[in-house]
Amino acid sequence: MKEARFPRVMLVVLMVFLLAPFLIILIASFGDNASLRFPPQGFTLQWFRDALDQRMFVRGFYLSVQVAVVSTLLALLLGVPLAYATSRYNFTGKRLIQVVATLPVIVPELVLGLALLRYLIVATNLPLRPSLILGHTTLLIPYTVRITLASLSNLPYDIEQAAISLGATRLETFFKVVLPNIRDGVLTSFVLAFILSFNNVPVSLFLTGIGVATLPIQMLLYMEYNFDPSIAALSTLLILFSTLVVFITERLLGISRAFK
Amino acid sequence: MPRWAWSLVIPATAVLVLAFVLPLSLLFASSFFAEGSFTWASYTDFLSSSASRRAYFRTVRIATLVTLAAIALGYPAAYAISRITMRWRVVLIALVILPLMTNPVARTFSWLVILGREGLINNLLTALGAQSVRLLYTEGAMIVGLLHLFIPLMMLPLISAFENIPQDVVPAAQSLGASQAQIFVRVLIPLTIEGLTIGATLVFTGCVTAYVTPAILGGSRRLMLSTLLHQRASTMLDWSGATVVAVVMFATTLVAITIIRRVFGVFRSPLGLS
Amino acid sequence: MQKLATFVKRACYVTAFLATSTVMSAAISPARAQVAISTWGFNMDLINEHITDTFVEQFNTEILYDLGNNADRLTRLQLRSDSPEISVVELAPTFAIRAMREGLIEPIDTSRLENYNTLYDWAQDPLTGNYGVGFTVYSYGIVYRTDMVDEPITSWQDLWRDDLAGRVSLPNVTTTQGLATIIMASRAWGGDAENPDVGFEQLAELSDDVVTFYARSSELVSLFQQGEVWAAPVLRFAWGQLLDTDLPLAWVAPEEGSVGFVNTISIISGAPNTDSAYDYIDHRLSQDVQTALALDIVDSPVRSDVTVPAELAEQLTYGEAEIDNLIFLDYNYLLDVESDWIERWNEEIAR
Repeated sequence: MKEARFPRVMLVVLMVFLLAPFLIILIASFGDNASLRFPPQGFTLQWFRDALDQRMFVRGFYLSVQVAVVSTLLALLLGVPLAYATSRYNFTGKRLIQVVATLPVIVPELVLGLALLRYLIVATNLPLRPSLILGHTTLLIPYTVRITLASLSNLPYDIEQAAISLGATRLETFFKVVLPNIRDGVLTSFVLAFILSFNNVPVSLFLTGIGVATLPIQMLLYMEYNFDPSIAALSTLLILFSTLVVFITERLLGISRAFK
Repeated sequence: MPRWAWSLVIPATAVLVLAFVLPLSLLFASSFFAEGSFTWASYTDFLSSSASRRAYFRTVRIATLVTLAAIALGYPAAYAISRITMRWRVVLIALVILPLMTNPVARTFSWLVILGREGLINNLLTALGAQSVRLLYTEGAMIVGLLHLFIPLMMLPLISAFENIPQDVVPAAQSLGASQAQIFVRVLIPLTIEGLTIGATLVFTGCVTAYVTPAILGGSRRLMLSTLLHQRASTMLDWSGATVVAVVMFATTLVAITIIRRVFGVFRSPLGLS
Repeated sequence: MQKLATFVKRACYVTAFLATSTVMSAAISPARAQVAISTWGFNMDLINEHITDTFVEQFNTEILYDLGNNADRLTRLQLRSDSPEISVVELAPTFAIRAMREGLIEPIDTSRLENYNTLYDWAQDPLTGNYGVGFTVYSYGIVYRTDMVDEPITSWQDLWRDDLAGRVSLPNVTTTQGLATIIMASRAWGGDAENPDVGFEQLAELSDDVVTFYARSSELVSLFQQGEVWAAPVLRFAWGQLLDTDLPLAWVAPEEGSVGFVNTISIISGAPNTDSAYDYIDHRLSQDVQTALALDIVDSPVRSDVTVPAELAEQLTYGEAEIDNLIFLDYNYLLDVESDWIERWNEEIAR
């Protein structure tokens, strides 16, 4: 088909639709009025200072980072071995375990959050922070497993067998042969899992309490009390943060390829 | 499998069972029990409550509309992207992925700024001399917000699908005299149906389960299953009510996935090229 | 080998980060005594100034807050009822009675409170059984934008006016004032609390012109700020926040009367740290704190010895005249009709 105009037009419409809101929020965060309006009047950096000053946001940010890092590491520590075993071996219950490992993607996160609240926190009195981390880890495992599996499938088993026959131990083989070759997959799943955990709302919504509220939840709480540009400023900062992450990962790993 | 390899499998499985399978099964089971005996009561309550019914149909209605809009906008756009040179294609794909990497609260908040009484659209209207319109807390606001949230999920599988079509297929069809419409229906759609199915599934289930966007743009005026669930669980302290909504939500996504596969499966390529 | 080294180095950085953040968060938690209080979180900066910081000065005890609206916090209390971490909870009356009925709060030994006797008598035991002490009172009235609404609003019936269509908000039925709204709507159109049918009918008719049903007072403040709402029934304690928006607003004590609510402070059953709990309650009821909060238009006082200058008194629920005219509801009756009325609301009004 010669380059038909219709698809291109729709592409432009789509891109504007997708990206304009970000631009609008960026502009709105510089406005001078007490309440958020567009177009804004005046120019000030006050809201950025406000956003960074708010106790709730700073605490929320640190908690979100902490939870994201720990959950992602756990998801990797649990998921990579599982992916390895699934890709290299057969074992009883393999099919079942594979299904279970992908289920968290299908179950609505809100439902999972409710279930965790009722049966993890209420029933076992597990404190909030570990429950939050546990919840996030569960959500992330399917991603780490799936991406690692994809990487592993590109690495023929023969290479490992060759290393072993040359006298390497299992552990050596893993660290010197397997890991370097799936490095891209592991790093991709690290970044993806981190972002998913950092931005998560549904699970964190229920697993919240005294002194334990992740950044997105704090933003929701703040929005209930205030309608001023500091949320716009914070949103802008977060969008820049994500842009940076996407940009860096794209440069290092070509993340767009990982979505095939 | 050698015995030591179980140590690779067990930790992940244990966590999944304890923190996922068990709580969910208990939740599911509890919806069928009230005061110790098996009963359908929570479900009949759900069906008889007009608030629940309204939320349910609104959810299905909005999810369908958003999915259709996503296809209408996303399909041609994905095609266009797949036709662009690699260098720019990578940039565009990164731009499509960007919203997915952003905080959903921030993303939805931008629509408050656009649709509000003091926002972009209304200020434009009043500048042109027209009356300001109530855009927020309507179904329309939620549809736009959800479309904005989920359209990248439609785009990515579609772009992938279009890229997988061998370069010479379309020119070959053209040289055989096929019209634009014919190429579209007999060639492109069957070859991209797999991607379309994935995209539609992701968007539809996303809309059924999303919480932030309906909460911010629809409020308690236009309840969806997700906001109803949250209201029951945290505002009305109605655990069994919330659980039923959760089960209904999950069941709806499963049914939707099956239906979408069936419906789209009709268009599958007889050549088996997908 | 190179890749292995890089990997190990990275792993070390990550571990170091985790270790440091854990140590840092431990370092940030002080060695002081602490007590946990459950409250709304409205006006946190003023609360910190007048309560949190002064409490630390006087009692060398830090206050940790569990914030949220009544329902969310009550849920959290229920969830933790076996091993409560929170010692004191501040609730609106319907929720406090619920907490009482569920055994989540215990009776207060009023002899331990220095400031008890200076309270108005209706604030001393609003729940019966000394399960809670009132610490602030507020009335339920109507707020509207004087620049957008030409004809002043004087009655509940005015909310049904054409010039307000599409610019009115009502509270969700599950809020503190939800049921009171049904009662006031009934009163406005000829019924009363025992005969709410006319109220339901009228509210059903108004429903299409309602922008949204606000679930929290803070949400309503946002709605006013956004320009979505020009008039709404509001609880008086949100008046200060509304004034902060710098919008031209007027408060109306409607013809049909103002319902009065007393927020109560209670001790959680089996709470840790009851000594600090009593210290906190006394602090909250002290003349200094009550006066400071009144002067900043945060909370209207329940002490008979708080003096507020006339211009500020207008913004508060204050003074004999106003207080004597408040209508206090029968919460036990309300709790009984609640589920029916909520069902009717969902069926007929919240379409």
